[in-house]
Amino acid sequence: MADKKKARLVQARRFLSNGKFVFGGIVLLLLVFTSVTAPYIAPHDPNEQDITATKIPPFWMEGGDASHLLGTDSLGRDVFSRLLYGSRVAMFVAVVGTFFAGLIGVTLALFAGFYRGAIDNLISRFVDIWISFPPILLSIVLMAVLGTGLTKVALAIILVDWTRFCRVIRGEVFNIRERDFILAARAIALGNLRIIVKEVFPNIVPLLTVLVTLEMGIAIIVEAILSFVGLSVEASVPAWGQMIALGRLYIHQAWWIMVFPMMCIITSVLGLNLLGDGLREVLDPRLKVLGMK
Amino acid sequence: MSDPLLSIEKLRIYFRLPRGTLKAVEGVSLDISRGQIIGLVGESGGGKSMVGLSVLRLIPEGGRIVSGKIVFEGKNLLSLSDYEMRHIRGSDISMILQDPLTSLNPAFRIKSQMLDVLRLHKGYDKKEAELVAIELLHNIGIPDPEKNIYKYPHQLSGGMRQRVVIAIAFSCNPKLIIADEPTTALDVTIQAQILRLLKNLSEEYQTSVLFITHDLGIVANLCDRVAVIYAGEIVEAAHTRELFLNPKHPYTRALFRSIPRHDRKQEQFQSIEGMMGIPIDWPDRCKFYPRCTEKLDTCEHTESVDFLAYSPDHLVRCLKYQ
Repeated sequence: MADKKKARLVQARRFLSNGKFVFGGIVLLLLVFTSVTAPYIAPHDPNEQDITATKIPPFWMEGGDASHLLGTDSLGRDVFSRLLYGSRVAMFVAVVGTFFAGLIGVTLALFAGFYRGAIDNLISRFVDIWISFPPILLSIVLMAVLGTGLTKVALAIILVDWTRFCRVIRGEVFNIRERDFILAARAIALGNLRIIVKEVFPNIVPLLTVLVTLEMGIAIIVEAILSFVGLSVEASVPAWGQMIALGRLYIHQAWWIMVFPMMCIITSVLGLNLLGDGLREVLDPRLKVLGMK
Repeated sequence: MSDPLLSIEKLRIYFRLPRGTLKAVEGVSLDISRGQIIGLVGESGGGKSMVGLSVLRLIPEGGRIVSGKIVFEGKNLLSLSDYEMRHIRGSDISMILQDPLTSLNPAFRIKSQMLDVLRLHKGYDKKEAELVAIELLHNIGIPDPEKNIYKYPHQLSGGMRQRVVIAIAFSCNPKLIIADEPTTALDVTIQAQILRLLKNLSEEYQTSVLFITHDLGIVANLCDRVAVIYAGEIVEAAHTRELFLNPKHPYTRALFRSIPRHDRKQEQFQSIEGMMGIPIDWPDRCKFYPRCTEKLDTCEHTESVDFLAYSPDHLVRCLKYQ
């Protein structure tokens, strides 16, 4: 038992000594925290307008007000509170969109990669066709058809991005199915489905972890783009892209309306990408051998 | 003689490729008696692995068993349903592959990989299976099995890993084990240990072994009988001692000559001239003809040489002995 504890400690140290992983992890935790607790920690109702207090600058600037930490927008709404609520949209889309995109993509990839032949041809050609639409255009068209709303944004992201999982994982499955332990599994009479689930799937988990974090970043960007052009959530739900679209009109008088949501998006996406990178370094045994931490 | 445990009869395995038909295995016949260790020797690409895989009906996609029979305990394996076949795999016939690093799943502990077979074929519950697995590891010479069973494959050395693979292969008391170059990926000292282990286990459990290798040196110590395969055809088969003392086929002789020996002064390593090549659409004559140093004038135009008995128990496929 002492050995197990020690091993866990060594493992934990390896994760924690990776700067990218730590930074990305903190960003992710922060996002989860704000999106869960937004109603409790936000100082104002995000939609509360105050015509007498529009475009108040952040508190440290002249004319700033401590009750509006990051100032107000052109309708007098509290920017900080809107950012907190905006993280809910971002996280919902990142988590739900990524989960289902991954589920669809990975399932199809496992079948395509494992059975090859006709099944693979069918799935892969379909992916090829799907991918040949520009993703942003496809999501805009989808939103126009589906209408606005949080679940619909997530659905659009799922429909656009499952192909990314499918492509990458299929290649990895191709690779794994040729390895001897698959033959060995057949030689002890395991069935195909069991081989896929028990022998192949665990071996794509490291790659999948990385893809998931990348995809979460992408989902946040896509949502921001859609809400920027007004095709995402309803106007009553604060989202970062919307805030940027609004702030763009007042960029010369009140930069904070646009800059803070932009910083949120950049930090989130950068954090998630670095998390993916860090995870790859920590999880990939080959990089360990090269002396990387 | 009693009925053999496994009898391969005139097995043909073809691959249809864009360039033509690759005859990976062309009319191979082979008998294995109970408790016997048979060596199948040949160079890379000679079809020896295909013979091994075909016994479990696991030949790669694209390959087709065109004709022949594989009779195991009176049943023709080639005519069984997939369901019946799965009862045989891992239970009556199991397999040891070349590289223990790749034949164990890197994502799982040794324990779960061992329990898979035991639970599937023996119907043990988790607890029983674990006890049996630990017992097996102990018998197979893994120190501290209670602890090592919780390790991942990469935490064990190559020799240890191959011991685990052998333990899995023997875990359901199979009647036949197909060992496809099980020691090629190991260094020589470990190789000797693993071979001794395999031989002891085979004697202890009365398990027959089809031992596939390119190394004649291994065959000498391990096998009861040896078959030499070239380009999908068995060219010579005999008792090990007979084959070593009295090799008849030019290919077998060439193989013996190419074993480096310190007692013969040689400037260079001897090798067999030329390459085997890929048997796609080859003319229907002795496959070794292009590289043979002992060929006769008649060889080129004589069709498909059949097995000739040089002595009752020593078969050769060569015109010289007709």
